[in-house]
Amino acid sequence: METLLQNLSLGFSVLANPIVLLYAFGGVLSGVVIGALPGLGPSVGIAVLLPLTYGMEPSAGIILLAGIYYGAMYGGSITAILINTPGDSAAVMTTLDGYPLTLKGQAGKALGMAAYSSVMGGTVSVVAFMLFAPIIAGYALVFGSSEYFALMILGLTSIAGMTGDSPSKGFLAAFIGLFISLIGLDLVTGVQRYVFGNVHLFSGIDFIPVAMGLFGIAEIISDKGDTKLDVDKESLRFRNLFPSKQEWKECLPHIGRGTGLGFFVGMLPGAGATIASFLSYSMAKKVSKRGDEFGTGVLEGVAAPESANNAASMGAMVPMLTLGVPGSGSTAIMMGALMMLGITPGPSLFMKEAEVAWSLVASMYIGNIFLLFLGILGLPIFVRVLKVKAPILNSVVLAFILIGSYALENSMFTVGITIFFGVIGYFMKKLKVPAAPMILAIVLGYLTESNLRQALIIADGSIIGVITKPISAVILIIAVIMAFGTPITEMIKRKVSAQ
Amino acid sequence: MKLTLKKGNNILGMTGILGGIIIVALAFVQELPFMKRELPGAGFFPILCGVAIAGCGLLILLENKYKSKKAEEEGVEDKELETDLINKVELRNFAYTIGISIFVLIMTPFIGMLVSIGISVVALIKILGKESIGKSLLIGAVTTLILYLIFRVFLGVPLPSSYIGI
Repeated sequence: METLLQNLSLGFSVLANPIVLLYAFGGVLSGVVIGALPGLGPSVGIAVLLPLTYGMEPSAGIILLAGIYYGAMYGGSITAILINTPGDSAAVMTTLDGYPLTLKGQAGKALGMAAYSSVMGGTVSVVAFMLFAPIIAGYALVFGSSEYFALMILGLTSIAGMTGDSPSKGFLAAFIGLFISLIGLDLVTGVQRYVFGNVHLFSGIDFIPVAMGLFGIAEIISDKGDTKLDVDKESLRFRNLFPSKQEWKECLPHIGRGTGLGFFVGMLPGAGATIASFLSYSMAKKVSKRGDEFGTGVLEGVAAPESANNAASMGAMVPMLTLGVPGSGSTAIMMGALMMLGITPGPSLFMKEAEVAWSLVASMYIGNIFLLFLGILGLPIFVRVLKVKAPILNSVVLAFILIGSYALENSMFTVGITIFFGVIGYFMKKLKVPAAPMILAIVLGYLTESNLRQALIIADGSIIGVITKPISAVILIIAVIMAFGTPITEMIKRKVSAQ
Repeated sequence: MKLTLKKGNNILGMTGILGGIIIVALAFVQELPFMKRELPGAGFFPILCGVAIAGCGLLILLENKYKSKKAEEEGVEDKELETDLINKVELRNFAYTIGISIFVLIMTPFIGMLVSIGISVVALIKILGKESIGKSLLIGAVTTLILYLIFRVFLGVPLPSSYIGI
């Protein structure tokens, strides 16, 4: 316990620097604004704003990105409640009761409850994160290259199997991503692979321009329709953002359950905030005395999914930071950003880079306080953001993407790569091929290949020797099960809708 | 012509198969060995990826065929598969967004990055947003200034400039 507090104080000492604190605030603020814009979720936000971290201290960079991540998680609920359009898939369940509350003239109360439950879910999860992450990292220290290879496969199969409607499309995206990560010089033999004499390709294709194209440009092209905001201004007044004592009494147990469930589901690779909010809403409906009224505008129906999705966003950072295996598109981009800043996520992170790891934990406490203030005081501004016309917003975002991709390597070639993947991303979106597995595969590709090659050298070239090691075998069996994630998720969704 | 998801899936599946075959063929053309001294060579992973991509393409084709057949047998139209992928607004967005991005790519070496980005912002707002020229120019100028402050002043990125130094 003493060590834990010492570590936490180390983290807070980094935050004593006002500039770092400003990054945390800036991250949360931009996250909420991006999350509030229809169609733009945490992945787009992190991908587009990634250039801001170029040259930053690793602690400051990851604090900024984490702020965008959980800020966007809350921001998604603003559009879900006000215009029945979830900012991202994790906010889908919030629309079910959030929008009916707006129609009843209680938008302020719904937005207030979304902010309180998000902050509560987020804060309690940081405590769980603080307790669990070092333990998992401690166990993972015994992992060798074959176990790591198995973990990478788990990360890839779970995200490919669970994202999108069709596992074959998810796997297609993952394998294309793996292939992209192989372009460049083979670091073991020095042989050129798929370079065709282009010097720009010698060092490979970075994940950042690919992410900016797949998430950013593809989103700009998509037709999001007109935003029709018709909210009773009176309901958004400060005093109307606070639920009554009775409403608190009804919502608190759901927030508690949603938080626990969200954190653990978030830790599972590929599961993430969307499934956490589905499950939390379903559980709340089942146990609530007013279960029959769910869907007609009850605050409990907002509290349960909102606490779960913010808790899940914290939970998703556990496998990313402790094992180096991100479970979602957003955490994959964050992991890539950490690597770009010279930090390798994994079990030794909490020992070798204790300052970075613990400053991130500390920033999440402070960030949740910022989130609460922004959620309450900044609401009128976020509502105004919804009124910005799509073409204006898209032009500014496109400009940011183009200049940001140039800044990565000071090369117009990277800008070309971004535009190319923007086109690919648009077609992928139309054909319902998920982009997250491709990004994850690009981030993990090199590590997967090098760990397999290393493991095979240790096992004298025997693949059986690699996959039958006890820990690797267990992880690989789980990976095979996760490959069938979509049918399982569909089953859960069907059950929820049947109820 | 209607481009349905069904047709799109077929194109995707075939592209996957073809792409996978090309990746494997190129591995042989570039002499990337699959195995070297009983250990994986430089071509090991690329060949596996190529085979897997082709396999996924084939699965997509089969899945598509199965879904259409099932819908046919049940005598109902699979709404998802019959959805038209072409949307006029998106086609326009696609043409202008990609066209203007390529404009930035080509013009930056001649007129500088900030100027070409400024022009692209003004053009997109004017064409897609149908805003007045004054408003478009104002937003374009403010955006360019903010980008200059973030990337040139704050991050110290040496942005390509034109002959006049901007």
